[in-house]
Amino acid sequence: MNKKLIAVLLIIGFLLTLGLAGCQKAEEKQQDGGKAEETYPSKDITVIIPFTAGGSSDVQARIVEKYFKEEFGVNMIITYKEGAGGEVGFTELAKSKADGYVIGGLNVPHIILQPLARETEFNIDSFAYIGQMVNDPQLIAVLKDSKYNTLQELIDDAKAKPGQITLGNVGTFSGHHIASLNFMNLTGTEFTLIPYKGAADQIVALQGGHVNAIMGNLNDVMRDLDKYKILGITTEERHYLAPEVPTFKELGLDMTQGITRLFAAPKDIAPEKLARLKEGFENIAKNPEYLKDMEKIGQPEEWKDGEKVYDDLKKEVETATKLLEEYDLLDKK
Amino acid sequence: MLADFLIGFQNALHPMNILIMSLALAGGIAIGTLPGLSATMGVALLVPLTFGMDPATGLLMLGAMYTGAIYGGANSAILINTPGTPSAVCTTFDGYPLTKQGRADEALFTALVSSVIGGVIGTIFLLVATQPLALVSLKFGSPEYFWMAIFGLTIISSLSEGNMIKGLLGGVLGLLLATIGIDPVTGHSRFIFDYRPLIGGITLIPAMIGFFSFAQVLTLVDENQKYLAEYSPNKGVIGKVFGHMLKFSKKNLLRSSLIGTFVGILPGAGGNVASFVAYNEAKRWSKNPETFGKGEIEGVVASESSNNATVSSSLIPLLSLGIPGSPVAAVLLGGLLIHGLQPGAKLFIQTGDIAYTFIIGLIVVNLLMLFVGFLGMRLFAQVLNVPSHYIATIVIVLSVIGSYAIRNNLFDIVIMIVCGIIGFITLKVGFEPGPIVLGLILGTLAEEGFSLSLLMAKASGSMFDTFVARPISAFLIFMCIMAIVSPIYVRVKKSRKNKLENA
Amino acid sequence: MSMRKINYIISTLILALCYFFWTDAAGIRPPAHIYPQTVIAITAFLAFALLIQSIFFPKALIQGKPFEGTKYNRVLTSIIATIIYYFALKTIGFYVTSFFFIIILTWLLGDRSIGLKVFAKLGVLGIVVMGLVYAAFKVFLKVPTPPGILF
Repeated sequence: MNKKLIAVLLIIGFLLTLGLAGCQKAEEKQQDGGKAEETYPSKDITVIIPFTAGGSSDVQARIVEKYFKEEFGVNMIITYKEGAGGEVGFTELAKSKADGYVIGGLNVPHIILQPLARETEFNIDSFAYIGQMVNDPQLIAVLKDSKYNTLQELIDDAKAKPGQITLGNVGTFSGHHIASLNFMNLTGTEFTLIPYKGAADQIVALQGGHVNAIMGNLNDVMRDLDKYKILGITTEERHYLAPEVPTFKELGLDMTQGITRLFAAPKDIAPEKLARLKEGFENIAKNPEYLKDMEKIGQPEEWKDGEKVYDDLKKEVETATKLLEEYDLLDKK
Repeated sequence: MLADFLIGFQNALHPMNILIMSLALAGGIAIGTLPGLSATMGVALLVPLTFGMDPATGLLMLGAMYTGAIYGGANSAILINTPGTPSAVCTTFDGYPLTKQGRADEALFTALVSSVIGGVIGTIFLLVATQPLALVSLKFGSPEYFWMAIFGLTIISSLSEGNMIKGLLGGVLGLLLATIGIDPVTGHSRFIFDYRPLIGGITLIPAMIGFFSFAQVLTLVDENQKYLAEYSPNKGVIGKVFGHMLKFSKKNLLRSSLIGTFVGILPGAGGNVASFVAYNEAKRWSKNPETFGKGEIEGVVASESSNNATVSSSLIPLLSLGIPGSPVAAVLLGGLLIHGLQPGAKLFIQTGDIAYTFIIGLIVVNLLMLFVGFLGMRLFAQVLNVPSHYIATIVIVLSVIGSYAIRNNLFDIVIMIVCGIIGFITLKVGFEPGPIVLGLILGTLAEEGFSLSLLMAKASGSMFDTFVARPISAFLIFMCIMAIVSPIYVRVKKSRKNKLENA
Repeated sequence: MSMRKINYIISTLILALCYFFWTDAAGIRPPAHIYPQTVIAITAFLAFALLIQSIFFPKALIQGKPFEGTKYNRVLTSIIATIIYYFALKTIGFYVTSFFFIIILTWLLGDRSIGLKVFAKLGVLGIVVMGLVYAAFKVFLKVPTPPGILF
């Protein structure tokens, strides 16, 4: 009997601690909203990376981390929240406390397409944008010994054999997917799109001859340029990392598409904090040492301010919606 | 090349490097032993530390961490029936029964030696056959992956001890669980039944921790014995194990290491698939297959030598083609790039000294592991002297933090607890966790292989050409048929023999 | 409960599960529905086979009562403690909760003797284990632990 009593007491004590802790948490929250801190940042900033450790987003964040302390005087702590193509991490950021100590890396067009594809708990209005750091353009590549030498040859062949030419992508409702749809739409062709799980699988499939061509990222083909023929790149002007590759525009196709990596905070962040973050990230983005590191890892850097990012995102949502509707890929709800 | 080779040899044996490798190995073994802390995580955590190092030393540190973590999984698998990493699932099948029989140190030492041998064989292939093996890995397209997954599933028939139907059911339930989340082809969500957290899917590691660790804790609590198993250090264990392996395990070691090397080069497969295949083959070729699953040393040998052989071979696509074929290789790629090294064929041409230091260093790492692992083994075996209710509680704490740490996701703890409860009940009614976890491992591989092949078939206009008329596919189909037919053949033969003897 | 009865329950449960998955799979766009539907069909077939086997070939089953002798008390205590532990660590924080969890569950699963010595021993156990976990996870590995307001 006595034993049972003690056990019950222990459990009650435990629950009490729990309850107390809960109250404390509520108090903390109130204080937080009360007054703005004098110096920001005064403690380490957590950065949510919505992909696995070692992925391209992580490698880039690691480079930022190198210069972060110097700029902000506090550490940057990378937390990985992977899952569902980044959705888990995006959602986490959107729901985080907007106290300026949680920010995150976002990828475009993922944050545009996921809310279109399925019900999500975030959309582009859930974030306050700091700025864009990477713009990795899409391109179409084939193997070195492929019979296609120009983009036009590929287009002509696809027109002659609709649906019989395969084009490797990474994922569905991804940057690759939307770029491929846009390409097919503009040229009036029909490819069979093969959505690989990751860029590595896509490159294996191309090198092994399992797909005819890929819609890929510059970063992924950069490492072994002499194995491929890049038929065209979707940038405004020729790219500084691959100046010999013609742009789609030169070839008469009006499309620019890329995967961009940006940093953002939850929507309700205080404006002065956001301003500080913008300033700091811009300084990092223009640091020559940082630029050298980015070149080493082969990620095409391109700084774009947060406001401009948001304006462009809104436009992109419109075009993407139109495109997906055209191909009847949106679930009617 | 010879000059690079010699420089590499010299660098790898530098005392400072040896020291760093030993420390990283010890860390790796600890990470591998703890359920939930994976090799990928360990390597990723070390990457920032390499920034300040000379690239070769940094890479050696990462390699040592990787090797140690894959081996370390065996310790907890053998001692408390809880695989520390998914690659060690098959080690539990025979390792834990051995512990129950009081032969824990024998199993632990066998696992260590097998891991070392597997690791060395894998690394030799990395050294001499990188290019040809990389070309083989390119031959694997979606249809080949599909057939490989199917071949992997045939293993269930030999895994299920009691009721065959229950074994198969466990396997398909694993496949079904793996489909929850986002459809890889359409990008829409499915089977989440309007429950948001499921969108990320049922990930392998939390589920595995549940089915093995938490279910095992509940079993321990239910058994209510003072200690897990009897254990008294066995003085002659080194001689005994070496004697046994020299006499009986040579073929098994070689076969399992080759399987590990081969499966390791395929992006998408890894140590977990390799150990299942190797275990199955060891059982198939064994003279007494009925002892497998009941404490057969050869089972431990097969599982551990094959999973450590994948360590080096999984780096082959990265080092020769610049393609990260496994999660750990992806992390290593980041490390290489930050140091300004270009993976791919250029790595050997432009920075041959670093490449060879790394590869030869991996052999050194494996040899070092014999000593570091031996020290660790003694320490870990003390677990058996701890009362089992202490272990039960501590394993729950480790399972919780392990499932959380894999994705920093609280929902993964829920998955772990639910899988654990289900695992405990199903174990009672004759479902082994092995087939379920195998289904989970192979589920994504099978689905992706199937769906993408289907798209390829649509483009080429012929199902037969895409699925069957490819040399490797045809070979794998043949293997599948063999895997299904041969146990039946053996059974028929045996019963005939019995009849003859009785007559 | 006999194995036979248990098999009836299991097959029914799995068949129900298959039904739910099948209805959900109906909404998947082709050709992505083929794989999941095939898996569901095979699962349902095997569950049905188990049912048939249990009804008509009871000899093929391992006889005996699988749940006989189960110490429900201890198992349920562990499960409930773990569930409370999960909710507590979400709010309080990992380290503090784990410390109490180790003490409480170890005591509950042990011989439940009461005395200063026993609790001192458990307290030391909690401190040592959590110290090691802290050193390994926070200091050495820098793995984030579930955050809470305390620690």
